[in-house]
Amino acid sequence: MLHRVFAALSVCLAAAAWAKPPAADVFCARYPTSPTCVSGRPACSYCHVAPPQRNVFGEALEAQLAPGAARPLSDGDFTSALPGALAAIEGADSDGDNVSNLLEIQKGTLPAERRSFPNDVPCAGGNNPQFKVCQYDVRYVYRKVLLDFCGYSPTFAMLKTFDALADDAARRAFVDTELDRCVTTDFWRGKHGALWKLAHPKIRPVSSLKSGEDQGQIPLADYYDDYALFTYAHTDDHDVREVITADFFVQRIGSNPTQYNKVQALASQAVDQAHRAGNMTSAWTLTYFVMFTALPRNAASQMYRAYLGLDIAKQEGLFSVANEPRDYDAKGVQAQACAACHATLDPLSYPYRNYNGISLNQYSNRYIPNRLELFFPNEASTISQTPEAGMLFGQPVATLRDWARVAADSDAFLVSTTTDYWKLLVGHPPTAEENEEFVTTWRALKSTHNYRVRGLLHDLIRTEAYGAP
Amino acid sequence: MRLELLAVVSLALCACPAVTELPDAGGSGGGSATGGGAGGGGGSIDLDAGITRSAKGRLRFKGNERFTVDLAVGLGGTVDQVCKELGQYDCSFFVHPVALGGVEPYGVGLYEPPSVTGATTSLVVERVVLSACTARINADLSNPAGALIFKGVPVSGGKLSAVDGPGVRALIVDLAQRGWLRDPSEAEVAELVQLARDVEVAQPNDAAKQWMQAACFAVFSSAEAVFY
Repeated sequence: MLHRVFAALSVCLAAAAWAKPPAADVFCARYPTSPTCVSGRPACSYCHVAPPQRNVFGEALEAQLAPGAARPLSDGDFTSALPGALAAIEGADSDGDNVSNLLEIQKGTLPAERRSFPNDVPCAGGNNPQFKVCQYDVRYVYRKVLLDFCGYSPTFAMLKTFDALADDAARRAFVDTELDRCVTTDFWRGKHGALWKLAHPKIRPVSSLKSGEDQGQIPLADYYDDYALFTYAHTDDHDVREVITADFFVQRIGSNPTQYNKVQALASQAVDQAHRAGNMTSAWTLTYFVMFTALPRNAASQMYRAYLGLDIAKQEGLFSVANEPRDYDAKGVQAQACAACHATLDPLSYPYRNYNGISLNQYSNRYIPNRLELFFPNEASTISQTPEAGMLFGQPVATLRDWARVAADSDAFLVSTTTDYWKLLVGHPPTAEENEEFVTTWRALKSTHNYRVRGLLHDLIRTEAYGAP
Repeated sequence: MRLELLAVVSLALCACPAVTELPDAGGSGGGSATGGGAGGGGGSIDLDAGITRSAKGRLRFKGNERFTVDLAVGLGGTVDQVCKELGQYDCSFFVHPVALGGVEPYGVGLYEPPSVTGATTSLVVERVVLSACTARINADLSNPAGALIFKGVPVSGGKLSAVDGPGVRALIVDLAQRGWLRDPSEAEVAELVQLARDVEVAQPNDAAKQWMQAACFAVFSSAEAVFY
């Protein structure tokens, strides 16, 4: 039933008869401190296998949701009944993992997934000749920092020198210094370095289509420019949001150390400055994600996934817009099974309407006013009605640059950026037990560090999640 | 032999199904104790071969780059000298990078490393370590005057002249410091000395070199050297 909840979270369902109030908000109003709500909203999969099919938690909820009332429930009835239904199954253990639904909600694990349950085994500490088990261990952190940021372990002699430092305060200061040194190395920031690896899933390179350096067989665009901007934004006291808001390009120069310099023009890039939005409008993004399509839904969904951590294909980040999808390009997305996601996706995609992908050379990878009218007149009779204005997080955005700005300033961007580093350095996405530290860390990226990744990294290596063996 | 080493030296961090509750664990003061840690409010301490094991289990495989660089540095060589398939193709960066936890984004579209080690990971780790160890041993034995690691061990007739001698012990200590970044325990030294004796029986004609390979392999392919 939460199917409306989380479907309505944003509401997977589009047609008027299916549109539901923001049920995720109802859920989060009841459980405001649940980790699921602190760093976002529960996805549809919290209650569904795939809407409308429910998982075991969703089925239990449905049974308690205004039993006997005619279906479908009105929005008002649904909203009124949901808190009571949630309360009714709090004591149950829907997934059979011996942990109640309520405790799972409070701890941030999944009440419908048997393999997901709180794992806060008491940590007793104790003696270990090499590690302070269960306590923050600065010596252990030193070894990890060198491996994670420089790419190698300290030698035995280096560890002896480290051990000889006066006290833990001196050792922590030394680790901070080493971190700052390591992030200038090519292991971290160089070509194919750690930051490039962080960017792979966002850029999705294809060597055969690459132009410029390391050119492929069908050179269409140079994604090294995207890596350059990504690395620039994540280093040297730059604002990390520039990865999707920059109206400039970045040039990579040299090695050991590799430099990334801001430039106003690159021969490999064609979008005019007034319409640039960092990597959202790079030549590679337009080539690979817009390609030949009139309405580039793929580009919008990939940016949503890559920079906001919201994968519509996994029913994440659904914020249904009333009266959407309009289906201007006549793809049939108003079908019930499609509309659930397209009510969010299509308004996300409209701001891309004038960004051209692969075309004749002089038209490729650039912003072209009236692009749909000029290049896709026969796509559909209503294609020219496609607006440039769209919606992101339920908020109107007039252009793609507005889209980028709203996205970059959102909590989702902070959560996504921090999650990337958490996975890289801790080794997995934040767990329920790590949620408190995780929330503190992503919030500080904005409030304390003004979107500078350097501060985030120093915070992260001080967490218990990173530093307690 | 290697598993025994792991039990002694490596499981300090990783969760092992074979947990031994020791009534007296020497320095730890007992097999069951209570205490407080950053992670919680206290409880029973699990001991693994006398070492407190972590409840966190946060060990991570080093992955192809870190593993190979550490191996190269530990054995005093360069990354290029660690391992080549057919003498030409780099094992860690060209032939087996994915098995070693790396990515292949540009050609294959593998953008993120696998979250767990694969079925072939241990095979590749052992193949790479054995290659690197053999290269170092051959280099050292062919040029004793310039030897870096495998030196100062008297050999007679292909066998170690004195298995219990200071040369063997010094070599074990050096390997441990290079691979584990610490001194070996007496138990670990004893294990590797016993290995020398075992090898001498099994490989009487080439026992010294065979033991060097086995000892190097045991240290650098151990969980402690491969995980962090």
